[in-house]
Amino acid sequence: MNSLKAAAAFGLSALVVSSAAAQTASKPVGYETVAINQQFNTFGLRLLGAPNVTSTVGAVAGTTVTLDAAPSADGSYIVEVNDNALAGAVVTGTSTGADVVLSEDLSAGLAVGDSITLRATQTLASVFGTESTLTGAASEGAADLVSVPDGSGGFSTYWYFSGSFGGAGKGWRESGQVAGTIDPALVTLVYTDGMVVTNRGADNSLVITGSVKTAPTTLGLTTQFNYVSSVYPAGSTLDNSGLQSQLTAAASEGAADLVSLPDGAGGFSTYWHFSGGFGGAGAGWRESGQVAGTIDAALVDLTSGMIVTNRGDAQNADIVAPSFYADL
Amino acid sequence: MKNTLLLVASFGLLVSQGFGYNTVTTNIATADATAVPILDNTGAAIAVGAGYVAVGTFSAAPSATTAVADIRSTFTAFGAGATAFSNGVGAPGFFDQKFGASIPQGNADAPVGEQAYVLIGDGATLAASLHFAILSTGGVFGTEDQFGNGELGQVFSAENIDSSLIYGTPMADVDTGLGLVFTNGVKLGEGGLVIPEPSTALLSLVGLGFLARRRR
Repeated sequence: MNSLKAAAAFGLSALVVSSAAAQTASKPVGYETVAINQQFNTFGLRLLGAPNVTSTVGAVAGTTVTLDAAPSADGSYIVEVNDNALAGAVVTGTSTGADVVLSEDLSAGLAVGDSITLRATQTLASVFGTESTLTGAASEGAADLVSVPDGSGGFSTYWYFSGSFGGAGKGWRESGQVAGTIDPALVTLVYTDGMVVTNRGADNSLVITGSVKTAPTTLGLTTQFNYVSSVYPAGSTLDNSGLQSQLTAAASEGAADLVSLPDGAGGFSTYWHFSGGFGGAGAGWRESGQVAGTIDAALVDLTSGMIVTNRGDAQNADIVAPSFYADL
Repeated sequence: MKNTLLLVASFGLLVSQGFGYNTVTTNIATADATAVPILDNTGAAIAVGAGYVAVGTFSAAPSATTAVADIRSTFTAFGAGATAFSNGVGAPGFFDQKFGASIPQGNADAPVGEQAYVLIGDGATLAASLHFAILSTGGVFGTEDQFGNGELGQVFSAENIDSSLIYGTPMADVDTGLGLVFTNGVKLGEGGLVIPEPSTALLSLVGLGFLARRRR
């Protein structure tokens, strides 16, 4: 467990150094190396696109939000709500001047004067390369796969076509596609999502660079299995994530929401919050199968990708940065 | 040849990464009066480590009057998991069980699409149990998703026990000695009365009539 603490400390150090070096950035920046081992890898983006502009809402009409300050360029952005009723909400949006058309209608909760940040999008191209850093192949069955939640309980899956004879026509394809390629720069990867990379080759790794978010983030959870990101790249634990107050706790594992973290060996370590015995005694986090006592949740580091099993109706769950991020 | 081997290796390695298909069931979502303790036929809460809990299907839909022999013969338990009462608060009368097996996406074989029931008995096994309760929220078995994850949960509480109890005796204001009174409980039953076939009943009456006539 000491090694985990040491790793977290190193990550923090790297972030601070990077932050100092990036004088023009409004947020700290850093990098993270993600292991892409053989078979299935659940991971999330924790180093994000750079903020372009933070502004206040001047007007809201349906999915269109007019900001008091326009971003530096028209285009697609990750849109973050920073305060008030929808604080933590993350959606995508397309800007034209100061007008931003959101992917979801937030008008019921978004108000004039609310703070919004537009952040550069990350895409299949920016994360995995226009020419993939993963294993490509002439057939989908032999290529690594990148599966991204599609927002309706399923996944959109992509793979890199290495080209036909002579290497002609190479590029990214969607699962099932047998001709042509897609533009990977148009496939937005939202940092709240967890992704699954199916590695059909040897163990690999992926270096992700970007900006560190320090504000809370809302994870939208559908019923049952949700592949989500832990958002914050260093020091985030089961204890300080804030998930305890957001997920459903119960007296039995069968009724509680679950947090499953890849164990690095192809399986998962699963945790749930015990609401306590009669009178509420003994409440705390437990590991799957544990029927007495609790664990020290501060010792459980969140992996970049997680599976949250939501046993109830669809809900939002806020995840927060470790308190020391306020000093970054 | 190298490419061929790589392909074979790739497909061979691609097993499911997920949790498999699990059924989870509990009667103590919250440690308060809304939990629904299970009592044996004498009214005592079934001890932790005793009793039998399984999730599965019935080949014929059970009712409040199903005979014990039919319960045993028509029930098929699903998946692997501990069947003795176990729970996170260590209190008798409560279970928190999980049973898992693989039901890959696209599978349409039984039990997919069939209603799931929770069968509770007082013995260590189905065969050894003499008294039963059957609960169901009405959920049906599904399959795993593309990453091998699937789950069917059945959580019983004071809110839904009336609509979930199929077999067994509903109890109210149950005190199991834990310092609170549970709104609801379930007492295991012995099964329905065996109703004689009409022809059998008729034969009995005929026999009695014959005896009466001879006495005269």
